[in-house]
Amino acid sequence: MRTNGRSEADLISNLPCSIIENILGCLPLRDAVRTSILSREWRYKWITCPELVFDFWFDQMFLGNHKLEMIIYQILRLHQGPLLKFALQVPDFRSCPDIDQWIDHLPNNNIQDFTLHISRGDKHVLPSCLFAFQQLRNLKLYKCAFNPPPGFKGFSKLVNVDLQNVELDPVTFAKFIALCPNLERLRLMDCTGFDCLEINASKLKFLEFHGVFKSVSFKNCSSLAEVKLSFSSMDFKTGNRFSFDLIKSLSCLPALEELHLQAYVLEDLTEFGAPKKLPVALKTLKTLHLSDMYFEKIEEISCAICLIRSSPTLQKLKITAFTFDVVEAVAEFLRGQKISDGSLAQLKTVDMQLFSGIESEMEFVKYLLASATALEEMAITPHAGSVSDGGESILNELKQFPRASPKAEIINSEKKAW
Amino acid sequence: MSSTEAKKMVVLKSFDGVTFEVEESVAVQFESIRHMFEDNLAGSVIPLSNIKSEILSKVIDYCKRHADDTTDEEDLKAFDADFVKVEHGTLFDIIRAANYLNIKSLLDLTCQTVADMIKGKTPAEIRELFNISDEFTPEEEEEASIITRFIYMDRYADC
Repeated sequence: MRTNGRSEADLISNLPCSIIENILGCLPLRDAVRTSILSREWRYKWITCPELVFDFWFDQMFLGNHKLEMIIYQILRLHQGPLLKFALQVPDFRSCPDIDQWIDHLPNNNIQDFTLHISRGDKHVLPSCLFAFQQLRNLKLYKCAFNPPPGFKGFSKLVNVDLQNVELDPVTFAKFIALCPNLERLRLMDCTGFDCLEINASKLKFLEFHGVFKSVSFKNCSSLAEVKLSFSSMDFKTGNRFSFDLIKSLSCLPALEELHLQAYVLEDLTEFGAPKKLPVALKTLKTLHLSDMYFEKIEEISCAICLIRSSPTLQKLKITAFTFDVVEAVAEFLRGQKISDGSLAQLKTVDMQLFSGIESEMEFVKYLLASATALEEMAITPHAGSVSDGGESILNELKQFPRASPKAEIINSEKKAW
Repeated sequence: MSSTEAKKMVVLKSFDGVTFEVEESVAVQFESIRHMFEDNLAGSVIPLSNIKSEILSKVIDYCKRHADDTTDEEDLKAFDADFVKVEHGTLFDIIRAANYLNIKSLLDLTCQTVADMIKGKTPAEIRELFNISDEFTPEEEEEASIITRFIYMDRYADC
């Protein structure tokens, strides 16, 4: 393709269609649709875009006194060819009957990614036609009512489910999960409508949950390696079994390697022998992150130590502190802890975040240093709000503590980052 | 393939008659002509009559770098970023060559580069960037659909 005088040649318009499609596929929908006014030739090049993502940027383009709904209808009408992704995530979007019309008009034999983000008003009740998208791999829903129809056959290719602020029926949802045999990632954030969560997913690798449940049951979760749980409230707890039952459920996961919990979720383990070892163990756990650790409360520290001791293969421990006051009793309690029971034998790295250097925190680190025989690194991230010298004096004090592991180094992660 | 075995070479000839001898491990990335050297045509010259030597040499450089598994990911990223810093005309020639030879990673890299140039620009800026001539008639503008009407407002705003 040679032309006379490069400066006058149109560089792009004559490229083969497949290349233009490839380029348009790399553009946000706003920019792709906008190419329709480059020239007559470009008028309809965008209509084969495999992805229709109606997002903030798209909405920005049409600022004015028009209806977004009309434009979405128009774009769906013009679109041709396979559509792999459909996402509605414009700001301030409310539930409306049009949504069901759009979903109904999508070519359902190609869609792999579907996102519906309702941000205001009532939850949107999903139309049953969505549950016929057989190629679906990624499903993201915000503020919807999740109700697979009775004849739902399952999503055989679904890999990733992300539900936020979604209302679930526990029985239907448990069935739904069991009908998605390739599910690998499940995120449930602030979802409602259930007390007990049942998960039956043999390929599930990652589970993240934020909200409230009274109990969880894992069936056939033989691949589940990473679990992040955070509870928005602990008010529902009745009796003293919640913490123990939770750890017991987790102990049945044969592939669990990484666990993230808020420290206060563990408090009731005191009824089950904390700070000693629990009758159950997290036998495969390698990484534990305890957040919001309240160094004022003996129960929390005691239960944290108990969980650490009940995780015989733990290699990496991360603690994010949440501390205001100094309580002498906690430091006393920690000083009373027996060292060298062999339960921290594999611990290699510890990361202490938001460390303010109060006595109970120092005693906690002292306990770990004295017990972890294979420790390589103790990293401290000082709490900028309560530590004035960048953590230098804390570090100097920590360096005086006896270490069970000769190769253990104590470092300031803030300094390391520089 | 064992390391002692002599490396199999393939000869490629550009549009302007320049020949390039490349290792088979590099040339196998040319998906569309792969069958030609798999069919035991060792020693024969494969003509690439629509690719200029200047472009072919760049494409071979790219494939050599990507065939070398000793390069770490960061270095490769830096190489890619540098590789696409060429004149627009050259970039589009590389795109055509990558498309013709079906080298997916190179095609993705170069198409993404063009998309990044377009992103966020007004239609007038894009036309100038790639020498696209605007040949709409007023009648065509009239028949604009609801979508293009809104975009036209955008377009008038550029002028």
